[in-house]
Amino acid sequence: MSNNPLFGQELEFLRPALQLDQSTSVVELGSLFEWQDDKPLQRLKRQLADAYDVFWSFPSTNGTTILNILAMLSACPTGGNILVNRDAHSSVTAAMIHSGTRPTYFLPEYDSELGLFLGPTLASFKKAFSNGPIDCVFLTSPNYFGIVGDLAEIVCLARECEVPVIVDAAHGPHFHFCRALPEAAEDLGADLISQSTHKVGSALSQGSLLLINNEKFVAPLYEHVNDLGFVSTSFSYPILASLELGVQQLVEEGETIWSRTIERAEAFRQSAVRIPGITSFGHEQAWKLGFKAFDPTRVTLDVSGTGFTGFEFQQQLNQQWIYPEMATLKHVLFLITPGTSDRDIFALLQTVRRMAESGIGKAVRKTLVPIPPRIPDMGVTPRVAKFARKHVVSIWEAPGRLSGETVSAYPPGVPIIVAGEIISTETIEYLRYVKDNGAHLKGASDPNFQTLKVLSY
Amino acid sequence: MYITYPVLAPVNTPELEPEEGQIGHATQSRSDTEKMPLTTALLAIAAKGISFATPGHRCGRSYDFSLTLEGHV
Repeated sequence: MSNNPLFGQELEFLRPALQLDQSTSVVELGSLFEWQDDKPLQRLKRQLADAYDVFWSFPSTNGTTILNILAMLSACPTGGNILVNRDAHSSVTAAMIHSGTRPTYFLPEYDSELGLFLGPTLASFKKAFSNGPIDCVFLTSPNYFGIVGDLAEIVCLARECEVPVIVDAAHGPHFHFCRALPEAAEDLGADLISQSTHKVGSALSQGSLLLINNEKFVAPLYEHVNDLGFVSTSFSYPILASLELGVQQLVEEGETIWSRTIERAEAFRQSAVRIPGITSFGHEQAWKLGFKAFDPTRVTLDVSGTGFTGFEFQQQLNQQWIYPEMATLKHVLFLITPGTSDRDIFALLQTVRRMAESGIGKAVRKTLVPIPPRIPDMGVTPRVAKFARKHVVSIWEAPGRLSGETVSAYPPGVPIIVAGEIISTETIEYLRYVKDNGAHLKGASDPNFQTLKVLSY
Repeated sequence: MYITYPVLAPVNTPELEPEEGQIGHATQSRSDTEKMPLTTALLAIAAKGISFATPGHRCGRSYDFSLTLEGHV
């Protein structure tokens, strides 16, 4: 710790945040663990709820992951049946482990032209929904690339059947405040909506929000908040203050600043696709199944025509001090926000052009990504699989056994096998094929995918 | 009504332009950040980097937003 030449200056830099970092023992400020008094923290929860026109809100200073877990625990009975989109965030699997729920998965639409999963369709949802009693629906919308599927129709159908709907809207805190963005899940009647205010709004990292549209889930939520230790008793006031100001910014200026941001993002997209080797997509895709609405501030560039993979492209941008949100084998995703200046975009375009030109002459990689095999049958729940004994076998000895790990392939960006599911030869052949063709296998304990953990029974 | 604070008026916070010798100056290669203490590396990236990624509090960069630490993020 002694080699930091800027030690004093950095403490000065932190001063504004340190001033807000009060003790949680200041009782007059209120508590995250209660909801029935009239103190500043309780009023903040009321104001955040009013901002989104919902019944109540629960702010998190520990990110959206715990909100997804708390939402599932509150809305789905322990061990109940939950319907989940297969490309859900890993926090949803964590929620299933904590709650012991039995998942039924449905796949969103896969677009082989774009090389991406789109949103869920009503047809695929109905098919999965009709397969058995469902206690709760858990959807992710929008997806990482800003694509929204048949969210409105799915929420409507679930509500007609009196099945609660949770929406992981981590990337949608701004939708409610700008008419040019897709309709917000909270406005469509979803029961519980988790949002990463820190990802899109102006909150500090880990500043997230659970919106509660249905009064009956408030009491169970606070029971779990108080019992399960997901919420630190030393929660962060600086993060809460940033949530307050971040949402206020959306209330006061959301329409203006996000409309301007959309224009800037569209201008970037139009300029980028003029660069040889670069393509992108936008609202023109809205005729496709699973592409009902789109957040245009998410700009996905397909760089496969430049001779670089998306991963290589991202790495080279990082070397130029430019930080995209993420990459896949063929894409790089950029988030344009109200904080993005014209100068930022100009610098990015110049760098992208230079990199694309440097790749000219390189062989363009054509990666064929077959559609994933059918979703495997579940042997045991994610919770049972998590705590079961496991051992390692060759991948070719794995078919017929229960998987001890969850392996996702990027592309296409979806779990191919989830812990507790029955491994098939088809699944192993698919994973081996995409791995040999350059895909990244996330979650595989063996990076070379020669072996796989299976349950020891 | 949600309004509890004065409206946050847009202001033109000058963009950070590191001078020669300062952290984040172009002469410093990005790989150097891997060797720095965490806070120093964060400051270097904040000064020199252009982010098209989360977190979104970059949104406040051009606003008089006291929590964004004087325009450093």
